Amino acid sequence: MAEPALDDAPRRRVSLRDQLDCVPVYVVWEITLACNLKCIHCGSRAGHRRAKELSTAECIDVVRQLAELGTREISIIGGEAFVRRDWLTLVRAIHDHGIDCTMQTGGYKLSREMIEAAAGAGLLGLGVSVDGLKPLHDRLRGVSGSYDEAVRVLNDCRDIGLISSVNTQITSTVMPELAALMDVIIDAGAKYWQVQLTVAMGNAVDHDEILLQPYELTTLMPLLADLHRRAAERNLTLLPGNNIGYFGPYDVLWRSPGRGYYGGCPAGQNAIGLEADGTLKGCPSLATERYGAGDVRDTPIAELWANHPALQFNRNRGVEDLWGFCRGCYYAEVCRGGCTWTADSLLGRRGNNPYCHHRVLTLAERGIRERIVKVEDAPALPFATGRFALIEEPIPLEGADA
Amino acid sequence: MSDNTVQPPQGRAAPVLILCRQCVQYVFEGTVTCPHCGRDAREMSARYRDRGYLAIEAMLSIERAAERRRS
Repeated sequence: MAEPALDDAPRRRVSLRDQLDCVPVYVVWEITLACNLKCIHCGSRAGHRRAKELSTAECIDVVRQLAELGTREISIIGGEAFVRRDWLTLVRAIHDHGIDCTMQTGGYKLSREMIEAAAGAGLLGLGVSVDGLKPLHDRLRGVSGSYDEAVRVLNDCRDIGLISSVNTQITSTVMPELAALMDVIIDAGAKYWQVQLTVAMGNAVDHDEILLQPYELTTLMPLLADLHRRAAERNLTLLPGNNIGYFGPYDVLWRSPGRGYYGGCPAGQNAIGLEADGTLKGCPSLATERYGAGDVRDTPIAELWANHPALQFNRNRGVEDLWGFCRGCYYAEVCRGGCTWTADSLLGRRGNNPYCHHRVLTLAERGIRERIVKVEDAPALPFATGRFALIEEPIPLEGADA
Repeated sequence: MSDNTVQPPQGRAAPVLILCRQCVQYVFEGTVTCPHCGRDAREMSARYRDRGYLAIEAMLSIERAAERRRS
């Protein structure tokens, strides 16, 4: 899922008991779909607010219910969360219920005064999206000046003393600038840097040229490992998002301390996603039509969480949903196809994920690689998916055009 | 939806993996012959010993033991 940074914060870490009891430890909550950026990779196609977004009172009741279920961290997102007028009230309510509150932002027009007010209301950390150096970031985010604003927000956090992190989308052209971007992030005082592959959903399906090809993991993973080591020397922790994996030679590097390897998608077992209109999901990024588990206005969250079929698919850790390469993989029982969002959005069905380092390396030993080709556009709806074909082909000889 | 009875949900935990001490790839806990390299996964190689994996694995196993005690 598109979970934000602060992954190594102890309260968010999922324990064995959390897994057995299905405690919704971590909630990502889209509090509005309104947004002041126009990102060409946006899975939710954010821009305008939803027709029936939850009221302030309804939101506070959601916080109360989540606290009763044992939630330990809520990350508010959008759209752009601070576009919602009562966002500080919600930050305070989350904090007052004993839940860590973090926020993910593009940072555009988020003033220093607003950041100070959020910190005063109990915001624990701010994650800022930076998707490349200025030209690439501004192009992807669709607003000129958005890069400068994002970096300025990081600097403001450092000056105020608020923990900041950076989230970076791995798109097809970002790799050559990741090292320089890391320098910017370190200079701006961020503590965590989370990277995740751009997923074929919403606007990213319309702009499929920005998607990484699965076989490009052979270049990306060693690069990230090198950056991880260099970042650690300068007090920046590079964190892999849920769709960075799996079981390649670097997992032990970036998933320790902790389990040391990817333990499977937590959606619906230890994670909840909430849409601004009250739709509950196991992960905020999953396609609403397949994974929407009802409206919190109509049914108590505890009842949806316990009973709704759309939230159950990860809890018994079965492998019956797996197919393709993942079905026969040695790590099937642990990994279970990696990030549900990534696989489901790409191929219309969870359980077969070509964005896997172990898979790419295994296929390479056989002289094979996989690439994706769009065969169907995504509807103009939030969290809409298109359809991609997975092409298996011989690895071109060195020097030949890919 | 079902009736209003709310039974506490129950899940299963992820299986435990450890590093093969020969090729340093993950294998299931208790594995003797590594499915990746075909060697004895318990026998420590120089690579495993000298590149810090021993310390990492020790740290991970302490964490797992603490987890099991808590649960």
